[in-house]
Amino acid sequence: MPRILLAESTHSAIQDCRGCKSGMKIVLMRMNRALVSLACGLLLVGAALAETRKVLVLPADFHVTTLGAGSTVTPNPEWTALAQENLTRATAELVRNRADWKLVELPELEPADRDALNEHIDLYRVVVAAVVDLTNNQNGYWRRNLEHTEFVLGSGLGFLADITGAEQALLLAGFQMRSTDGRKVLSALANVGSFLSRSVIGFQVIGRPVFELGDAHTTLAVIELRTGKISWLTQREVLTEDPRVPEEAVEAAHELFAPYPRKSLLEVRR
Amino acid sequence: MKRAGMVAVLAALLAPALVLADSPNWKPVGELPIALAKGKFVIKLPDHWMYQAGPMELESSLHGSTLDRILVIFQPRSRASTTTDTESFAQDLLNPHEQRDDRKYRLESLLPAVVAGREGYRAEYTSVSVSGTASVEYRHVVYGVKGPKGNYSLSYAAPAIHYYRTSLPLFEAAVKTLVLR
Repeated sequence: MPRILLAESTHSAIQDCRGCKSGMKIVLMRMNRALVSLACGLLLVGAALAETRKVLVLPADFHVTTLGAGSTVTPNPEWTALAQENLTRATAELVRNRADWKLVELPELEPADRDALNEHIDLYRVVVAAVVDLTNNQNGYWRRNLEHTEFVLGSGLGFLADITGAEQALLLAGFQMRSTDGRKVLSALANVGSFLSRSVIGFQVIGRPVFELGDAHTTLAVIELRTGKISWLTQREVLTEDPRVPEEAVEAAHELFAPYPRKSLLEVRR
Repeated sequence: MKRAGMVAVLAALLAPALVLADSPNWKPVGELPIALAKGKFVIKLPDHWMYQAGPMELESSLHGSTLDRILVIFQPRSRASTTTDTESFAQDLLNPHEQRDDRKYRLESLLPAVVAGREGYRAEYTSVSVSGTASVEYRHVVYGVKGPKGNYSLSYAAPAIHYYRTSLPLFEAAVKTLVLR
């Protein structure tokens, strides 16, 4: 297609030049034509050289719970399923949006392979928790010692590379704890009480932490499937979006992915 | 669900934070062996690992306690197991390690072994750590030996996937450096 366009454009340029009486203009036009040809050639070569990488999107490992008025935490399987579906789609969109990546979706797996994948995702949670803890640790020795560590998931996901042809995978994981309406009412009352106590008796009686309205933590990682190496990792300690809503799940995924390939949690520590 | 529910969600991501965040005593392992329990035992831990020492025990890790951990526990004679039955002895020495992890170990093998030049044993165990919907299988090796002033147990624990195999040789090398006094 570019070649056809080039031929048409150069042809019309030559037609235009037939009417030109200035020799200089003809020279310039020929130089211009040569440069355009060269640029197009380079673009074609560049496009051929820049291989698109296949990237597998793993199912989002995201859990939604409710936080009740009495600080009771209850897993919500329906919300979790909805959020997982939306976030998996949103992660796929991240891959689709990159010109150098080609989306590979997870095929139907044999039960044994499905178990192996789940085991590695469970290990991912433990590994990421360790990374987050050590990088945030107040003990400076731990942070300095991180240069001797290598956080990986092992080679057990290599079968996914064999099946799909993808060398890398993208995994979004985390949780969101959402307050019930009862807790929101209590929190509002606590705030009013706090305000009144400060106004009337001069100090706060009820502490806000008693009625925290929820919590969340999300991570997004690029995983090398054959080695299990986590080559890029990012996190968000707040989640203002509601991943049960498809558009908001997309926003949340985009927010996580925005710094890629910079600012990996694994690089900041060095 | 109450607090258990909270743990079910948060522990999957934040449990190690609970282990390490309040641990200002962790230090890098130096070049010299570490003497503990008033000099009752000396051990050389793997290079680049971190460690923290209590009065009767020593804990060491590289990636954080949930990914690799060496634990040495000394039980003075007054509190040490006196049983002559190997399995009972092994279980007595294992108890404090199990309590640490708050989960049951499953014995895979129990064989005689020489520890610090004395007759002891070497046991292999597996366990499963469950946090909410996540469950991770761990593998453990525990050495036990009766010393002149009490009993010693040295354990190594890591997830079965990748981490166990990676650091096991380092633990075995550390066990060989153990000296009892």
